[in-house]
Amino acid sequence: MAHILLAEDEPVLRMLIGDTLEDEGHQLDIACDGEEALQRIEQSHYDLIILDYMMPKLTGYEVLLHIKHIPEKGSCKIMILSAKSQHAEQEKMRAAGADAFIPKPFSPMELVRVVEDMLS
Amino acid sequence: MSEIRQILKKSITRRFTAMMLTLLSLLVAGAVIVLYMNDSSFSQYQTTLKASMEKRVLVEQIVEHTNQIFFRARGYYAFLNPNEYNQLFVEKQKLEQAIAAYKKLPLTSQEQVVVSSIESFQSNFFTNIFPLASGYAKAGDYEALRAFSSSGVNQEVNNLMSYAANYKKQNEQLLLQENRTLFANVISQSQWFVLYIVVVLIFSIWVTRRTTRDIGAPLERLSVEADRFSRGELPHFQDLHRVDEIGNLARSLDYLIRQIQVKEETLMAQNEELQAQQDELMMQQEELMMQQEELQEALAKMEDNERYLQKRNRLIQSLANTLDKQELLQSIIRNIVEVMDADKGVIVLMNTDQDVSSFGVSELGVDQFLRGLDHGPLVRVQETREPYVLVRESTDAERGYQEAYSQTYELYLPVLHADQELVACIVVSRIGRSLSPQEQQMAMGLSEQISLSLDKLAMHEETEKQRQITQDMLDTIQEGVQLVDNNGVTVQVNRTFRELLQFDQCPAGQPLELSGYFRHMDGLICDHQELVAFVKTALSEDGTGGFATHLIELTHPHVRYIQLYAEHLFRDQKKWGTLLVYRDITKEYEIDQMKSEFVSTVSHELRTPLASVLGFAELLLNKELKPERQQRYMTAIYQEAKRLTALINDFLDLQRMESGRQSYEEEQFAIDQLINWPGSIHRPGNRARPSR
Repeated sequence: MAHILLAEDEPVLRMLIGDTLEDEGHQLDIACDGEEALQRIEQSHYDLIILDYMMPKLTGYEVLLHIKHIPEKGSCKIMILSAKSQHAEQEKMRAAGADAFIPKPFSPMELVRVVEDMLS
Repeated sequence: MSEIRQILKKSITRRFTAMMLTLLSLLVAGAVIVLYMNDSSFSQYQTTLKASMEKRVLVEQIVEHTNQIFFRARGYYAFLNPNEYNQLFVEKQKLEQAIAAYKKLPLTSQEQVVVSSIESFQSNFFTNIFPLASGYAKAGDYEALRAFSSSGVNQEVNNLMSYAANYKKQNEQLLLQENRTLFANVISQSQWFVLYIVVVLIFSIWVTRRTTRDIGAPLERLSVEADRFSRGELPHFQDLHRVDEIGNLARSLDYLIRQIQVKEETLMAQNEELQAQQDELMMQQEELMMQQEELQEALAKMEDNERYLQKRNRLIQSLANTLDKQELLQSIIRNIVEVMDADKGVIVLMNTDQDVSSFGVSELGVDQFLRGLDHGPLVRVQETREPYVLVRESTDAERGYQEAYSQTYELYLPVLHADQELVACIVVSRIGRSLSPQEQQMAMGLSEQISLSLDKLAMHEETEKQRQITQDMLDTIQEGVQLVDNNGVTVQVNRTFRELLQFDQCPAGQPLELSGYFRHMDGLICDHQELVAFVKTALSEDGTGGFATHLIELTHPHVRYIQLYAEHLFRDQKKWGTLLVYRDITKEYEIDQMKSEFVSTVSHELRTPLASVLGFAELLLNKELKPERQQRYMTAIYQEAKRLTALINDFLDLQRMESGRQSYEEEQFAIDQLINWPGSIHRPGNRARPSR
């Protein structure tokens, strides 16, 4: 069982990803925008952080850059969800330190498989 | 003695000093002797006189005191007065003092006898006579007293009285004798003094004579001999044998004269030689003077030529430097008037405008000249193509204050084109001074230069006209055009270029170097290095192929997007420049950007509900789910599908709006309802980012 933070502003997607990962037995924290996500990251330790790219206040990309500047959070795994599926976007995220990039729409089963891969 | 003589013989000075010392010694010795004699005579006289006077006084005192003693004694006898008695003894004491003083003086034997008798009388009186006589008186025995005084006791006193009287007489006699003796001595001394003066005079005359003979005469002889030498005669010196200064002087003079005689002969020879040389030099000098005159003439000619060349050069230089027509004409006429040494002049172009410029001519004069252009001497010049000189009487104005008759020479000078066509005519006037054929020839030479420069001006004007047409054409183009030569210097730009890249404030006419262009652009764009690289590559390549374009993002004063491309220009198959074309594509660029952003947004907006629909469907299909969970998922799928449908309808509406095919349904509703609608993007507190 892993401690996972999901930062997603879309309630329907929060429900889809949340249900899927909780079914797998993971403990899930939810943040509705970038700022909330950053606050939670500073307060708790997460094995995995899932960031939506397009979020109010701070985008997923901006949160990613912040995390990479916090030394003790360097080992934390980060996944980016984005509706922008272009190759350039993926390269940009990976260059900033993202461990995985999942384009929307995605398969919940596939998501679970990637999460398990990352946690193992 | 002979040694002293030898020493004196060697020096006039010593001799003269010795003589003067001797004379002085004689003078001093004589004066001392005379003074001594005088002094001894007077002192002897004074001593004798003093002793005689003292004796006489003492003798008178002795007689007086003796008389007083007798007087006091007789008074005492008669009255027995004690006072008389005391006075008698006072007198006795005074008498003794006088006798003692008298005895101290040098006395003759007779005087010594008299003194002894007085002493003995005095002693006898006070020892014998007075006690006896006073005893008689005290006894009152006056008879005995009378008898006693008649007994001759007074004889001594009487003797003394007579002696005193005699002594006085003798004394006076003695004084008289002493005076005589003194007078005789004084006379004798005066005689000796006269003799002494005579001796001194004789000695002085001797000294003078000796000095004259010893010094004056030899010097005069020397002077006479020197005079003789100066007159050219042969001198003969007599004093050569002398050993003193005169001898030295004579020998030196003799030696000098001999030396002068010897040198004179040498100098005479040299003088003759120099005279010959001087004659030769005089001849050479005359020759040089002639050469110098010739050279001066040549120099004057050269200076004239130089002045002419300077003026001609100035004319040519002014022709070369000026491309403004009026300025050129003004320069031509000013300089040609100066070069030709004329007073005034006019130049007129044979074009349709008849451009004219003058120097020293009034506007009225120029107008008159232009009016008579087709009828005056110019017609002749047009026909002959040769310069023509018109000689006329000077006008009153030209003569000024000169009353004399004067002529004015006017040169009509044609300026011919290469094809002998008359392009201009110059008229220059000289008041009172003629124009030589050489000057006319020179004027024709200048006319050729002027023709060339007028050709140049015409070409320049034509080029300028063409350039202006090209510039006008360029300025009408929407794109900015920059023509850069192979050295990177911007040759020409159009108006759009200046406005677009804000070069309109740069000074026109100054060549714009590549570095200056880059510096200017540095402040205007954000990707300066890329522009530098593109422009450098475009300028350095010389191929004929086209180049990739470069997008410039102008940041100042507001954002604009410029597409830049380059085209090479060739002349004779050789690249001579590059045309940089700047096209303002701000509008197209923004539309492109908006389109791509739109597509990206649409993609994102479609993908989010699609992800939900697909995700939940997959879970429903692959998982065993509780019925309420299935119900929740089905609802979500349904709502997201509806959202997707609404989105697609919105896109289609937008498409129709763009194409103008949108139909509108008009209905009235409250605007606040629209604002408060949950899905409104303008809802207060909604997220600022519109794109989802």
